[in-house]
Amino acid sequence: MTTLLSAQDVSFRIENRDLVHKVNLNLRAGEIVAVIGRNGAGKTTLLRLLTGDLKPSQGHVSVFGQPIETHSLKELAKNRAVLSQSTPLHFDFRVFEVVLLGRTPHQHSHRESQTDIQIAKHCLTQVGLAGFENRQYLTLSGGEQQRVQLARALAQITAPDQATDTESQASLLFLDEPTSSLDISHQHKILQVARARVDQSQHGHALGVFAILHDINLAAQYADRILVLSQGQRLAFGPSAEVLNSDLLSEAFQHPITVIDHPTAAGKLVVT
Amino acid sequence: MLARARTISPVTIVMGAMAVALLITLVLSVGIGAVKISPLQVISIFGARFGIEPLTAFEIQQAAVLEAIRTPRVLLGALLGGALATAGAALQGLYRNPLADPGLLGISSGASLFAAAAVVLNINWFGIFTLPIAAFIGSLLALSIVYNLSKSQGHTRMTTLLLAGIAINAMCGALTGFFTYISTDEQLRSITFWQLGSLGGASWTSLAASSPFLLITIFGIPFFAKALNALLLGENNARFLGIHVEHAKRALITLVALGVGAGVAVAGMIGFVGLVIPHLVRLSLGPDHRHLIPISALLGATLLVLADLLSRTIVQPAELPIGIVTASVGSPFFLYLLLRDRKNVAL
Repeated sequence: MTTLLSAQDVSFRIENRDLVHKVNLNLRAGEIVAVIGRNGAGKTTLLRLLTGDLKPSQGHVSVFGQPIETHSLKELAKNRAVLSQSTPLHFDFRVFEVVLLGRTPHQHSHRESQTDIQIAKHCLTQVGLAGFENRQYLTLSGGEQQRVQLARALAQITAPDQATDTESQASLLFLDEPTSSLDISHQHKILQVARARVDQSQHGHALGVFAILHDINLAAQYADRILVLSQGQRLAFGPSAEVLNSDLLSEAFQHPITVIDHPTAAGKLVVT
Repeated sequence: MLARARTISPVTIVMGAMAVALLITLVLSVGIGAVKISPLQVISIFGARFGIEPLTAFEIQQAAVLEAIRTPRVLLGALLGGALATAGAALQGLYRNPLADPGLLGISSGASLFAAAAVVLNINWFGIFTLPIAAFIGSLLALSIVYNLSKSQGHTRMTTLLLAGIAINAMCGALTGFFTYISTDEQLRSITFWQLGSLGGASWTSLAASSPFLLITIFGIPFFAKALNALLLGENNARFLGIHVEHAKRALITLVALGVGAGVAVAGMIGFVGLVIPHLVRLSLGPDHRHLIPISALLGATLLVLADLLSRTIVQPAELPIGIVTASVGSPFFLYLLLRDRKNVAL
């Protein structure tokens, strides 16, 4: 499997304090890596380092096999999308217009092409909002708005149908606490869509997802590997089943945590 | 599927209709005033310039009024209205706030201060151009102070930009107040009139001096339509969509300053156009800047020409300052929009 994203000894220092300290990680095509940790553990700083938003004080970040600084903003935007916790959109676009904004880096002219429209339509269906095209974005619920934003992010990194396998490119999706203000069903919908996208990605174009998740159980359920951050340092990084153990999580979160086998599904369940 | 490719989109139809409306407004309003000139005569007078046989008879006096007074005035009104509306649309997108206005960045008040200073201190270095030049310098100075204050670590912070604009506005207001206080009665009159805005001083010279700036604003800002759309999602998200956010912000702020500064310089303070016009277009056609900007430009041009027509005919033979017209028509209308939409749209 190709490595889509890697960080070598990445540190970020501000006012003599390392917000992120010598973190190593990699993300392969076809997997979801989740980052968990307490507030202030450096999760968001790490994400900003990995997206090129911040420059590391030490260490290197590579994206698609090349140092991140060698990619232009526009080239990156064609294969990498970021979904934030909340999007400050206060203008009354129609839902379909919001999704089409994801096609911005692919548009050479002022107008969207038929391909852009097809892809946007496809992604809106994927997030379960087919038929919402002409709804006003601001009238939707928070959960629906976030799914529209996910569709926008997916539209950004979706290759057109007619693209052959040789043309197909690897893509990256960053999720920055995408579910923290949503109810349970919306939380699962967002991650199910990401999971489905990643699982399809073995054939054709390869997708890797890097997600900051607030809820350890969501990470346990959807991530292939989990990175545990504590005080800016990597406490553990590995397959979910290995990382999720009571002692490690109790240390990372500074709170007693019990990990048991999930009673109805495969995987672990975290109880606090 | 959305049938976009084959059929003519409603936006194109609206744009065409707006262009026709602007043209009709231009032809009608050059003919209305103390000296009446019918649309046919207007066409004949212009035609005669190019050696075309007149369609109908006209008097020399009509031709003189049309060519020397009305035409530059109406053209200046159209360009100014277009530039103010475009600038307003750009600022509202940049601030992600539908209530942003060119007055916000301190541009207008900086211009106003320098104009007042020029009047009261009897500065007369550039003859009749002294006031416009002073206003222009004031607007650029105010904007560069506000802009530099809001830059930190290579980023432009929009909140600081807004607050710095408010501070500069207050400071300029205080200093303008001081100049007003020490002015003579005659100077006071001149400052007040300038602050109320008027296209009365329009001539071919002032049109030639200001139109390059106004045109750069009108035709430059549409190039950033896609960037502005992406910016509505927040600066980070725009960057993730491949937009060079800093570059776009700097370019847009400069374009706005050029247009608004030039506008204030030739016509004084004309409020509400930049605020109301884009808002109106957005309410009917949505916030997509690819059509918001050109349609705002056309509507702004049309409405400012009409406002000027009202200002020079309503109290004939005197003239009502156009700023009074735009504010008294614009503000109740704006209130109406706010009240109508307060339930479903969160501003």
